[in-house]
This record gives sequence, structure tokens and C-alpha cells, in this order.
Amino acid sequence: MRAIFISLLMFVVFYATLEAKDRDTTNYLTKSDTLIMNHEKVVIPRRVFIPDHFRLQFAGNIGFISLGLGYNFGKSYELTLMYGLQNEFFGNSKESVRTLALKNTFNLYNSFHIYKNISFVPTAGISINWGFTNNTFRKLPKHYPNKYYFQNRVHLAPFIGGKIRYDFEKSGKKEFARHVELYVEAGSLDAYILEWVRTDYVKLGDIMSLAIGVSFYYK
Amino acid sequence: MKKFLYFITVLSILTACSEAFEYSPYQVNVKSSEKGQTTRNLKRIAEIDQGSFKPFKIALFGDTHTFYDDFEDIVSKLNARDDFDFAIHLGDITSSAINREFQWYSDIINRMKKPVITIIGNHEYLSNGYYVFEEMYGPTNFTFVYNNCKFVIFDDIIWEKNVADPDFEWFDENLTNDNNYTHVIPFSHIPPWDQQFSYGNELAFNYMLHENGVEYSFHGHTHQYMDERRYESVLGNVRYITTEAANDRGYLIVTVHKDSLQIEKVNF
Repeated sequence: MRAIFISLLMFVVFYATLEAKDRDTTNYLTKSDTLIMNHEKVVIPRRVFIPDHFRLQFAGNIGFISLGLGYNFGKSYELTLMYGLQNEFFGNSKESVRTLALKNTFNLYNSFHIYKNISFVPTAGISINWGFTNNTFRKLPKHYPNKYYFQNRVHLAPFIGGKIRYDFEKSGKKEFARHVELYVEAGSLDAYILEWVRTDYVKLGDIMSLAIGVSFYYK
Repeated sequence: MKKFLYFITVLSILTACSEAFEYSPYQVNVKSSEKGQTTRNLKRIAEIDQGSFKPFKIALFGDTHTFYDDFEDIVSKLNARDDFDFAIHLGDITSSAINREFQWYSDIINRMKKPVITIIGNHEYLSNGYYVFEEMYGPTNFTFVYNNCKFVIFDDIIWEKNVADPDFEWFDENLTNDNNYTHVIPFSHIPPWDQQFSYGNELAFNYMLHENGVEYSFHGHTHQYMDERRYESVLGNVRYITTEAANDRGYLIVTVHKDSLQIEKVNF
């Protein structure tokens, strides 16, 4: 059962990366300005550095609330840098935790049309999370013997989910964003997955948790 | 059809989550039903306390880490016997001291029919583990009396506190037999000969036990069963006993007699 699940997940990620190449119709580098300065042609790749989307997320192991900015690479792959916070007021934790997450999201299918300009896109991905709080470290402090502990600051967090996309362009009006998406993801953490694989006690449901978020794509 | 399949998969995964939202693996957010477990267990122990000395048995195990299957078996084996009064877990209840590891430990340990005292281990000091432990169990240094025997629970973690000495003053003070107790028995996670103890701390630990007339000291941490008078050639003849880890599939039964303790190692 577990082997099937893991291989399915791997297949899905592999498929998504393949698809990303095939469906890459909007090459951001072609949307550039050309300037002629001192007889030299300078190509300024427009919009490359301006983020393509803005994101607001609730839960999902990277804080009670997190904010992110990111880029779209083609239609299938999105990279988002998120900053999440949890403390006494946000998420009722006595010790505050700050998290930086580099979130890789793959759109598994272009979109399933639902109604008018609303569509559904299944997603999957993996996030790399850096957790900052008491006693987390990337490099083992000097007073420990070699390999006494494995680093406990960075965690890999795979997830699958889906998003409901509302397209502004199709409404005919000029809007501030191209489309807005509401997403739900079920994800886990490397340390939890390890225990799920290693023991019978830990069940799949015990290692999963949800994230809910909204993304604005303004390009 | 494809659309439908996607929806079903996503929906079934979402509904399968036992705890819908987790904000961070490092969060200090213990459910109210899981708070103060040490206080609750001490209350239960006080209820069966005879007031004066009467021989009794206790069960010892430790270092369950994430060996959940073995840990479950230890609990069910102990639940099958009725001859001991309570149990003590000698520390290292998690591996990385993150949120769900604490919940999994709490879930399994609360299946014990008899009361259980949980001692803090070095792994519980990683990330925010200490704060979670404090909420879930309580203070890490404490004493209690059962059948006129004084139990001294001592937090002797050093490196994970960024190389801070254990509270030896508290330990020395509480090892005193201040009320004509039949025995004073200390329990701590790390044995004094471990590399976390400096040479001075190691000698101080043994000295305190010897000076206070303590005869037995129980520990976890080493993942190995040992029962010896470790410092016989240096000072005194305190017997040091360490427990195995959960994956060795065993526990100790200690019978407390008036003049001595009898240790029985049980493996399954």
C-alpha cells in the first residue's frame, strides 16, 4: 500500500516536470525591451525580476500565517518564497517560530473547466522549510561529538492538493490580477513520513495536515 | 471521469488527516487534555500510597524514541501484569522533539493501566521540546513519596541546554533522607559516566549519592542494560542500573524490599 502510494507520488512529480517542458508556451524572456545605447543593443528582460504571484497561506507546517512571493515558469511550475510566523497570538504557541519556505508547486493538469471563468487545477509539490526557533541548527554546535544529532532546521515537506482558479481576463474587465486562486493542500514532513514508513503504529492520516491559501497572479 | 477521480483522491486524503491543521512541527501548543500528565499520575500514585513501608514493585523502561511498535508491545505486556504499582519512563520519549512525536508518545503511554512517571531525556531538549515537555508533563526536577520511599526525579541533561550544569544543588538537597524514609531512590536520564558529564560532574554525582547514603541510581540513555557498582574503586558502592531501549523489547521490574532492591530484567 505504502509502496504504491510513494511510487504514484514519484510518478506524478516526474510527469509534472515532463509536462512543464512541453507546455512552456509563454517564455518570459521573449517579453523584453530592447534599448540601443552607445550603438550597443541592450536587452532588458522585462518582468523577469518582478514576482509573478503573491500568496497568503494558513497553516501547512510553515506557520499559522505565511506570506509569499514567487515566479511562474511556464504553465506548470511555480516557485514561491514564503515567510511564516507562529507565536502566542498567531497559532497559540508559547515559543515563537519563524519559517522560511521555498515552495515548489507543479500544476498537474492545465485546468478543468468548471463554470464560466472558474476552473480547477490539481497540484503537487515539495517545499523546503527552514525553521527558526530555540535549539534548531543546520550545523551541529561544536560541543557535540560528530554526528551526535542530524540537523533539525531544514525539513522537506511534500504535498498534494488542488486549486480553484478564477480568471479575471475572461470577464472582459480590466482587473488588478490575471487570476486569483484558492488552494487547499494536504502535506507532510520528512521526519513524519520516515516514521510512517518505519512503523506500523504511525498511519498515513497521522502524518498529514492541511494548508489553505490564496494566490494572486498579477501578470 | 478524470475530474471526478482527482476530486475523490484529494477529498479522501483531506478527510483522513487526524489533526487537520499543524502550524509548525516546532510549535508549543499542547491540547488541554494532554497537559499536566505528571501531576495527574502523581495524584493516582498518592491514592494507592500505603503511608508506611510495604514491599512493592515498579516497572522501568526508557528510550522509546520512535520505536513505536516495540513501545506499544511494552505497554501491552505491562498491562497484562498486575503485580507492579506504577511505572517510570527513563527519558528520550521522542527523536527530534517535534509536535507529533510528543502526541504519539502521549497516545501510547496513556494506554497504560497503571500510573506512569515520565522523565525528560536529552532528545526532548531539541528545538522547543523542553517547553512542550513542561506543558505536557510538568517540571523536570521533582520528588514524590510512595510507601515511605522517596523518589527523586532529576533532569541531568547538559549539552542540549547549551552546556549548562544540571541543578546539582537541588539534587543534593533532595537526596537527603529528611523523614526517615526506607529508601531514597534517584532516577535520571543520563548516567554520570556518559560523555555529557565532565570529570568533575561525574565525581560530584557519585559523591552526592554516597554522602546521602543512597544505594541505587537508575538511568536510561545508554540503550544497554547494566547493573554494577561503577565507582567501587573510587568512592562508595552505589549500584548504577541502566535500562535498554524500547527496540530491545524489554523492561525491568524492581522489587523494593525493606533492606534492598531486587532487579529483574524481562525480555519478550
